[in-house]
Amino acid sequence: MTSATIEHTYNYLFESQWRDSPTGGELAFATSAGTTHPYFFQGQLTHPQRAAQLLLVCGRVARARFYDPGLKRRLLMLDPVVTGHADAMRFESFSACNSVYARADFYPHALDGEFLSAGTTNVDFHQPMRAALARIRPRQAVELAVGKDEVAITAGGQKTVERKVPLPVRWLRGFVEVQAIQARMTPAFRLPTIEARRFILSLPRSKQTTPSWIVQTGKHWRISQRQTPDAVQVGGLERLGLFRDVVNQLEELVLYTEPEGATGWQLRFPEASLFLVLSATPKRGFSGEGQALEALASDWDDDIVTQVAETLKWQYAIDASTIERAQVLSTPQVQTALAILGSRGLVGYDLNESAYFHRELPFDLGKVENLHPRLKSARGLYAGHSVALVSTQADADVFHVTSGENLYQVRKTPTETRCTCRWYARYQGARGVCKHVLAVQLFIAEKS
Amino acid sequence: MDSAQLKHEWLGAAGLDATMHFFLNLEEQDRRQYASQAKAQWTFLNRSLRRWDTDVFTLLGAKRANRIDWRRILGLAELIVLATTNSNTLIKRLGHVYLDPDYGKDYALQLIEARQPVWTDTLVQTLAEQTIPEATWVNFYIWPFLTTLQTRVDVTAPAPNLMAQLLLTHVEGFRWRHNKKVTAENYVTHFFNTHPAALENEFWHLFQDELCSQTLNNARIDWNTPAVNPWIDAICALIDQGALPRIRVLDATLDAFVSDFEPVALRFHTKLIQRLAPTEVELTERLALVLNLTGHQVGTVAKQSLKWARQLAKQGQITGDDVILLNRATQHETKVVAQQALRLVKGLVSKKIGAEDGIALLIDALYHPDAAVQTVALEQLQKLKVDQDAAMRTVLIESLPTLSGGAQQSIRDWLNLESEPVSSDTVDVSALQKRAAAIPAELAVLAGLPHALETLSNGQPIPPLDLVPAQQLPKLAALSPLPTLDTIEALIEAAMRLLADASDPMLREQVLAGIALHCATPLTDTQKTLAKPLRQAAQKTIDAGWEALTKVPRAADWAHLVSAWLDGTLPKNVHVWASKNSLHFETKAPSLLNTLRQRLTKRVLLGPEGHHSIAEFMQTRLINVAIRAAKQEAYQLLATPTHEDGWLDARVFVQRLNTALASAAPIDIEEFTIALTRLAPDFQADARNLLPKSDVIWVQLAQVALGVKMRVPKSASGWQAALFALATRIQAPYAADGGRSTAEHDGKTDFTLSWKKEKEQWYAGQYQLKINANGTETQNKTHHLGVLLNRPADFKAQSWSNWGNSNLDAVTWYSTAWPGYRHSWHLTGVKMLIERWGPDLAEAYLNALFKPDVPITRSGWLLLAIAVGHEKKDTNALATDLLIEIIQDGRFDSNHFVQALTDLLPTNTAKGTLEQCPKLSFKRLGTSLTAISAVSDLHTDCIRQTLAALLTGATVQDHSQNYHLRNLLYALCQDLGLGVSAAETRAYLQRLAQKKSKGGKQAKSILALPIKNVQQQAAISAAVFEARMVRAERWTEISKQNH
Repeated sequence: MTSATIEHTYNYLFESQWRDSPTGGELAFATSAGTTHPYFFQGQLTHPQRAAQLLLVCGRVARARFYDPGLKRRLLMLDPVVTGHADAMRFESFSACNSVYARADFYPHALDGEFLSAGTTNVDFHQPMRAALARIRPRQAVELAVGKDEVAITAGGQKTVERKVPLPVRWLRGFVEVQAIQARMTPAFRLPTIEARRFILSLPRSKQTTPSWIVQTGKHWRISQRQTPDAVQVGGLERLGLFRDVVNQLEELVLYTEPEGATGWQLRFPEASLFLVLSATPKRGFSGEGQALEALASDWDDDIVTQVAETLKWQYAIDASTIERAQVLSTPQVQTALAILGSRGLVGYDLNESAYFHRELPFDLGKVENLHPRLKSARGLYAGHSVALVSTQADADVFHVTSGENLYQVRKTPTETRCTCRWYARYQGARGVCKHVLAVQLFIAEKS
Repeated sequence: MDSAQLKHEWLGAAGLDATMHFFLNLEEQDRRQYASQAKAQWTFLNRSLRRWDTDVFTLLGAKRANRIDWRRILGLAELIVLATTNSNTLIKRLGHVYLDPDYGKDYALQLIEARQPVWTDTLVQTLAEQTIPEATWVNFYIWPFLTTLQTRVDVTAPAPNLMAQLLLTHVEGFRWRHNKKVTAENYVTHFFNTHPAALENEFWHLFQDELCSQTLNNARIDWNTPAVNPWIDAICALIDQGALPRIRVLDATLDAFVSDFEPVALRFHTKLIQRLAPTEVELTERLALVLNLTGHQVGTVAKQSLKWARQLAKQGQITGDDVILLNRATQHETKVVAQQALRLVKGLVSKKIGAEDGIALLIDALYHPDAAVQTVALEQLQKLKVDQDAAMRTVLIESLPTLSGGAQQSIRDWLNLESEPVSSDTVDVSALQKRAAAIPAELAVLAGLPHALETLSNGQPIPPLDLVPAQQLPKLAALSPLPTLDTIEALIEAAMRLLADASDPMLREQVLAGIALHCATPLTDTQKTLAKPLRQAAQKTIDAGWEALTKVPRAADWAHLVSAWLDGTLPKNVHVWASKNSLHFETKAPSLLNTLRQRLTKRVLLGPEGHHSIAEFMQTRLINVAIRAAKQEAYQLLATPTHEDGWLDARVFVQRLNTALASAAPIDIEEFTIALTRLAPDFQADARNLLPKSDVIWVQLAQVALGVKMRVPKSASGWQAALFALATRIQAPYAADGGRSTAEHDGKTDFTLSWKKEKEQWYAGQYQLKINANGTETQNKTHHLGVLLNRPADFKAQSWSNWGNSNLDAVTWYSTAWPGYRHSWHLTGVKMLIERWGPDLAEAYLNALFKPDVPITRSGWLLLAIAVGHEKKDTNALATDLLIEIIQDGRFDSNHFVQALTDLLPTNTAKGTLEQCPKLSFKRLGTSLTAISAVSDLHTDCIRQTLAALLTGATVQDHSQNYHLRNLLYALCQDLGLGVSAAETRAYLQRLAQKKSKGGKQAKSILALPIKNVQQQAAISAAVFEARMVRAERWTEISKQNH
C-alpha cells in the first residue's frame, strides 16, 4: 500500500450536536468545505428513525475497515460528505479499507423544510452524535439542520473544531474510481420486501474468506459458494451486514453488477435510498481497480470536458442528452467528459437514476490524474516512442512495448487484449489494464 | 570526535550518566555538530544489535552478547540522537528503549526541556501511536512519559483515545513489571488509587474507544485464570470506595452499546453491566434506551436488554407508545431474541398496552426467515384471538409463500383456507417409458431408468441409485479441449501467467508440455528479450531460496522449471534425487518389471507412503521435464491431457506412444502411469486398433489399460503388466492395521489385494502386501470408520506438507491425475477435514464433485457428509451447494449418504466418532440440511428420507442433540404432508414417545403425521425420474457426438 497522503483539514464552526426539545429533538450538523461552511437545509425529517439509521450506516462505513485493521487508526477521523441539491440531499462515505462506498439519498419527501443552498461539504460526525442518532425513536419529531447561519454561530460564541487528517492518496483514488465502476453497472435482480428482508437477515456475520454467489433456487434467493450461470458473485458478503439495522420497512432491494465483480446494492425506502457499492473482495480496494484508466487514456479533448463542466449546476441527475443538445456534442463525447469529471471528483454516479449527479468532493483532487501511476507510466512509454506495431494479422494486431530493458508483447484481438507482463499475468485485466496496454491504446488513439 | 570515539567512549565505556551530562552541558549549536554521527551510530547499532550481531557486542566491549547490554547500548544511542537531532523523520523512526528508567533514567525529559526541539510534537504523536496492546514490555513506559512531558513542556496533547489505550498498556504492564502474583485489587485498583487523575481523564475514554473496549475484554490476571477480568472487579471496587460515580459508569457502559462498536468490543461492557446489575429505578429512568437496545445486533446485549424490558413490563413501566421500540427485537436474527420479544409484545398487548403497534409487530414477524420465529409469532396472534379483519387476512395470505410448511398449514387452518390443489396424483408411467426408450440400453441401465420404471409401475417410490462407474460413461464431447502452446511467444505468456497464479491445473499441464516440446528450440533475439521479464519473475522466486523440484510440491517448482528451460539451470538437489530414484527404465524386462512392482507397491498401493503417491508421480513428471529442459532434450509428454479435468483421448495417447517408441526416446514410468490413469473411456476401441502388435512392455501395458480382456497370465511379465494396469485403478488403502483393496473392472471384482501392518515404526507402520489374483478375499478385517478416522497415530508425526496438501494449487493439480477414480484423493480430503489440517483445501476436494457426470464414490459421500456438518462455514456452505446440485442432477444416493452420516454420528456400538471430531457440529448439519430442503419438494423429500433413515434406534444414540435433527424431520414431514413410514424409524420414535419429555412429545407429533400422501409421492417420483432422464439424455447426446 502506498503511504502517500494529502493533508486535509476539517474546519467546523461548531460541533455537530443533538439537542432535546419538548416534542423531540434537533439535529444540527456542522459543515466544512475548506474555509467555507455551507448552510444547506433547515427543516423536519419526515421519517426520523429511518433517516438516523441511514446516516449511521454512512458513518459506520466511513469508519469501517474490512481489511487491514491498521487503517482504522490512520483514518479514524474521516467524516461523511454531504451534497445539497435543490430539493434533495445525499450523504456519501467511503470505507477506510477502500472497499465499500455508501450513499444515503434523501428524496424531497424525506425532508420537510427549506433548502437554503446547494453544494458539497463534509459534516462533523463524531461519536456522541452517532450515539444520539442511535437513540432517535420512531414518530419522534426531529428537526434537521445541515449547516447553520454563520452570523448566529459567531454571536453564540460556540467552540470551533479544527481537525487535520492525512488522507491517503489510495483512499482518494478509490473514492473517485468507484464512480466509474458504478457507471458500468446494470441491475441484476430486484428482491421485493419480504424476500429482501429474508435475504439480508440470512447474510453471514463472520468474515468470508472465499467469494460467494447469490443464486435463486426454488422459492428463495440464497448464498452459494459455487459459480453457476445465473449466479452473481459477491466477495466479502459480511460487508452487507451494514444493512441489517435498516432492513425493516424497506420496499425493495436492487442488486447492480458489473463485469469485474464489484456490486452495487440499493435498499429502497419510500422516501430514501441507501446504496452500498462493494469491491470484488474486501482486500481489493477500489483504488487499485484502474477502471477509470481507459477513459483517461482515451482520446479526450480538454475543451469538451471544460464545456461539459460548465453545465454542472448541482443537478440531482445530469441529463446527458440535454448537454449533448445544448453543447452540440456527441453521446460518447459527453459520456467520456463525465467520466473524466468523475475521476476528478466533480460528479458522482446514481445507480437508481442511471445518471451522474453534480457534486464536488471537498478534497484537493486537482492532481488526481497523477494519482494513477499506471497512466503516468503509460504516457511516459508512449512519449518515449516505446510502442511499435509488429504485425497485423486477420485475428490480431501484435505490438511490442519496450519498457526499460524489457520488451513486452501486446496482442490485441477484437475481443481481448493480452500482454506478456507480470501485471497482466497476475490480474488478467481484472484490475484494469496494464501500462503497456494503456500505452498501446494511446498509440492507437494517436494513429487513428 | 569520530565514530570510534562515540562507540568506545560513550556507548562502551563512559556510560549513560557521563554521556548525558556531556550533552546537557553543551550549547545547542555544539550538540547539533554530533547529529549526523549520532544518526549513523544509532542506525548501525539498531540494525546490528537487533540482529544479534556478536561482533558488535565485542566491538562495544561487552563480555558476552546478552539482553541487558543490548538494551542499554541501544537506549543510550537513542538518547544521543534525542540530544543532537532536529529531524522529525528520524524521530518518527527512533525506538524508545530510553523510556525505561533502567536504560534512560530521566534524561529524555531533561534533554527535551533543555533543547525545546522542533520535533516534540512529532515525538509525542509517534509515541502515542505505539499502542499495540501485545507489546506491553515495549510500551509500558509511554503513558507515564507523555503524562509527565505534558506537565513539563508546552506540547500538543495526543488524542484522548490514544492516551486511554496507552494507559491500558501501562496498567497491564504494571503487573508484569512488578513480576509478582497480583490480584485484580492490587494492580488495577492500586493503579487508580495512586493515579486519581487518570480516573478523571483517560478512564472514561476507555468506554468510548472501540479498540480500548476490546483490550479491556482481553485483560487478564494471568493466563491460568482466563475467565477473570481484573477491570470489572476493580471498577466495582472503585465504585464501592466512592472513587467512581456509579451512575456515570452505568451511563458510559450503556452508551458504549449504542456506539456502533464491533461485537467483540462489547463483550467487556456486557459483563460489566451484568455485574453492575442496574436497579429498576435506574432502568426506568433509561427506559427508551433499554427498549432500543433490545434490537441490538449483538445477541447477548439484546437478550440482556429484553430481560430488563420484561422486568419493566411487569412493573407496568412500559406504555403504549413504547411498544414500537421493540420493532428491531421482534425481527432480530437471533431466534431466541425474536421469540422472547414476540412473547413480551403479546404480554403487553394482552394487557391492552400498545395493541395496534404490537399486533403489527407480530404480523411483521411472520416474515422472519426462521420458521421457529414464524411459528411463535403465529402462536401469539392466535393466543390473542385477534379479530381477522379483511386487511389482516390479506397480509396473512400474502405472507403464506414465505412461510414454512408448518406455519402455512397453521395459518390456513386459522383462516379456514383450503389447501393448494396438487396437479396430479399419479405418474404417467407409459409416457415415461416412451421417453426412456430413446436412451441406449447400457446408458439407461447406468442411469437407473429400467429399475425406476419398474418400481413406478408397481406404485412404489423410486429407490436410490447405486454408484455409477465413471469408466463407462462417455466424456470427451462434453469437455473443452485443451489447446497446445504452439509458439514460443504463447509459451512465454502462459508461463508468465503460471508464475503469477498456479491455480489452474490445465495451465500447469500446458506449460509443462510446452516446455518439454520447445526446450530444444533456440530463442531468437526478440524472443530472448521478450522472455526477459519471465526470467526475472522466475529468478525473483528462486532468489527467495526455497527448496524446489523435490517430491514435495513447492511454490518455486515452476520458477525452477522456467529457469531450466531459459537458462539450463537446476537446483543442486535435483540430480541427486533423480538419480537416487532411477527415473528411467532399463531395457531389460526383469529389471523393468522389478521397478514397476516396487513403484506400485510403494507408491500406489501401500499405506502412509501411498498417501502421497499421486504427489510423487506428478512431482516426478515435473522434475523429469525440468531435467530434460536443462539438457535441451525436447520430447512429447505422454500424459498431457487433451481435455479439461485431465482426461486424455485414448487415440492421442496411442499416437504419442507410437511416436515415442519410434524415436527410441526413453519413456518415464511416472509419465506412462499418469497417461493410463487419465485415459478417457471414449474411443478406446479405436485406440487399440492404432497400437502396433509388439511384445514391448509398453505396448502390452497399453493394451491392458485399453480394455483388453483381463486375465492373469502365467508368465511373469504378463502378470506384472496386469498388476500395473489394475493397480492404477485401485484405491490407496487407508486402514490403520491392515485391510484389503479390490480392483473393480467392468463392475466386477477381479483382483484383490490384502495387506497387514508388520512392523511399527515411530512415524509410520510398515505393511506386508499380499496379492490374490483369483478374485477371492484373503482377509476381511474391517474397522469402524470412526476408529480409523480418529486414529491419527500413524500419520501424526509425519510432515503434512509432504502430502502436498498444504498447497491448494497442487491439490487441484493432483485431482487431474486420476480423473475417473478419485477415491484415494477424496480420502485424503476426509482426513484433512477431520484433522483440521485442510478445511481451506476442502474447496478443491468438493469442487471436483460438482460436475453432473462425476460419479460419487464411497469416499466422496464420506467427504460430503463430513463437509456438510463441518464447523467451518465455507466448507459447510460448499457442501450444501454440492448436495443441492447432486439432488438436482440425479446423483443423490440416500443409502450411501446415510451410511456415511451413520459412520460419523455417535453410535451405541462404537465409541463416539462425531463427538471426538470437534470440527463436526450437529447444529451445522441441521442448518445445512435445512438449507438444502428449502430448495424444492424433491430436496425436501431427499432430506426427509435421509433423516428418517438416519434416526433409527439401531444406529443412533438417544443423544439430546438429535432433538434438532428430529425437529427438522418433523418440519420437513409437515412441509410435505408426509410422515415417516420406515418401520425401524417408527419403532425408534415409538420408544421415544413413551418418554414424558420434549423429545417424547416431538416423537409423538412425527408419528401422528400421515405416512401416505399419494399426490405428493407422485410429484416427487416424477421429479426423481426427470433428474435421471436429464442425465441419461445428456450421456446419450455426448455418446452421439463422439460418434
